[in-house]
Amino acid sequence: MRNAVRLHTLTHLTCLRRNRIFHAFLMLVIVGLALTIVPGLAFDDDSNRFQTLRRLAQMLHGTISWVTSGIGLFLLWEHRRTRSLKMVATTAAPFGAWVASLFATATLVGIAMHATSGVLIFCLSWVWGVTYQYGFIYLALDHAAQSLISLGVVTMLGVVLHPVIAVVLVALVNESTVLILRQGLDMLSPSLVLRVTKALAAGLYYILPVQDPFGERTEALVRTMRAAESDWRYLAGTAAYALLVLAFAHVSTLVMLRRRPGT
Amino acid sequence: MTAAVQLTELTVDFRRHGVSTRTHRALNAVTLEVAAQDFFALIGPNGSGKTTAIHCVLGLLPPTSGSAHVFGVRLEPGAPAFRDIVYVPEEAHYHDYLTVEEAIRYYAALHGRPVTAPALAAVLERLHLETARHTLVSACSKGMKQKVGLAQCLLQQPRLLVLDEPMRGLDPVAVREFREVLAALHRDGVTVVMSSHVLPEVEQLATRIGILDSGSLLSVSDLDALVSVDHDTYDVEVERLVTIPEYLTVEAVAGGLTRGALPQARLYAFMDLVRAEGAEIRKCSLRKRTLEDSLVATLAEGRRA
Repeated sequence: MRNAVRLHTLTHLTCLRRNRIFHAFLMLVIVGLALTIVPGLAFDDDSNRFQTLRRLAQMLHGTISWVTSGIGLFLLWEHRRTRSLKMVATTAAPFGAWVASLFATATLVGIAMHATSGVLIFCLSWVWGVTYQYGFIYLALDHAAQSLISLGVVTMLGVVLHPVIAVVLVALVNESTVLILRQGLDMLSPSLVLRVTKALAAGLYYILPVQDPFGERTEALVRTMRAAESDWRYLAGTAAYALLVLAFAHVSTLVMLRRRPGT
Repeated sequence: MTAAVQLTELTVDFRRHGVSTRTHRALNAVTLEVAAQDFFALIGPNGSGKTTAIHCVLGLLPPTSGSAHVFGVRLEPGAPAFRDIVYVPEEAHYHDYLTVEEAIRYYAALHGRPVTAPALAAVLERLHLETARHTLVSACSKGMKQKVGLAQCLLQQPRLLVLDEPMRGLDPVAVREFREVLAALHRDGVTVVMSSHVLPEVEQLATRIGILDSGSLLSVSDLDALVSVDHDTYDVEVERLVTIPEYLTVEAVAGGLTRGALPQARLYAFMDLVRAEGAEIRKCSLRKRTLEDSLVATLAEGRRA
């Protein structure tokens, strides 16, 4: 199993290395980031360097999390589009290894990108003479863990939905939007329909995976970038929750894909 | 002895969702047995269910009812039994972002039989793929892509080869190479199950033939029963024949050439007539019943029934 995951992962990495659509997508993300970041870097004065660095770290790690989530979906879709999945399904390698390799590839690429961004932030803080806070490391690791949650959900949805619909669905129906919906419903005058809608919204809220399970408790950390000893426990909690979601997504994706891997 | 492939009452329905849900029966209670070391060909018109049957055999498609077993095992994706099975798909659905060598090594490793450099070199040489080993599969012609599948057949030493329309769209040279490799593998004891539209190739390779039409298996017979020589009838082609005797069934007349069929008993009388008229015989041979003739006849019979 481990060998099969390694083989598939290496092959997926080759796919990403040679795929022009993926390169174009990355270029688009990089250009978008540069257009957002560079003006700020150029015009901020020395007194504001820490806030600039904090915003930069949040933007970089947030974007990387988003890209990481998309990699699993991209690989799944690429193999289903070219129908090459049946060449994998008709070998003696456990089929679950292929699904696991989607997550492994995205995680590896995500970790590499988060690490690169982390190094960039460290170098900038050194160049600008801003005291480096451990909160930057926390932020990188927290985003890496969070990206696994959306990676699992989006990839799982990609088996039954077109990838664009899967992404739009995750963007529109998540715990934040449902919370806003619930708050909106609370303001309406009571009726039977409203009670049913509220119950449905509440059910949906508890079913949907939480993207940032300890977001409220780590607000101070994100603001000051000072990580207290107790904060690392939240990171461990997020990581455990992400692994749980990923395991669920792995089983669900595998069950759905096994039904008709040839199409 | 366990059959290499056994289909029992295999039925597949496809549901098409639209305004109303419609069901299309792709396979209709197909029962079939392919013995070990057979070269079995599944033939039939487009949409007859050949690919669906092959997908069910390989576990790529769950049947609606009935079962498909390979060497007594019901296959599912990634089953250990695939160590002894190589599948060559209809279209070249290989990982097209890999090079030819990478793809061959990847599939071999997934089969649990990594390829050694000398073995790979020998197979690439045999299939004339040495110059293409570093070419991306996406940049290869269809013939070259299919050779990636053929390389698997040679490297894996499988017990069963499953080929879905492997020769469709290949040039004559590639078809010949394909045929030679398949014949050699079959001689070595490999069981082959192949669906094909290229009937002359099927005639040269297969030992047993199954004819499918609209999801139903119309017949399963030995090749000899479908391809035979009719000892009672001669096909003739004669130039400058003026008198058409009543026993000659004329099939075509063009450019002074008369083509037709006559009973064996009247052959000498016909020769005398030709000599007397000063005409010239271009062709005279016992009538052959080709696989195509048998297929057309079986399909017509099946549709009448």
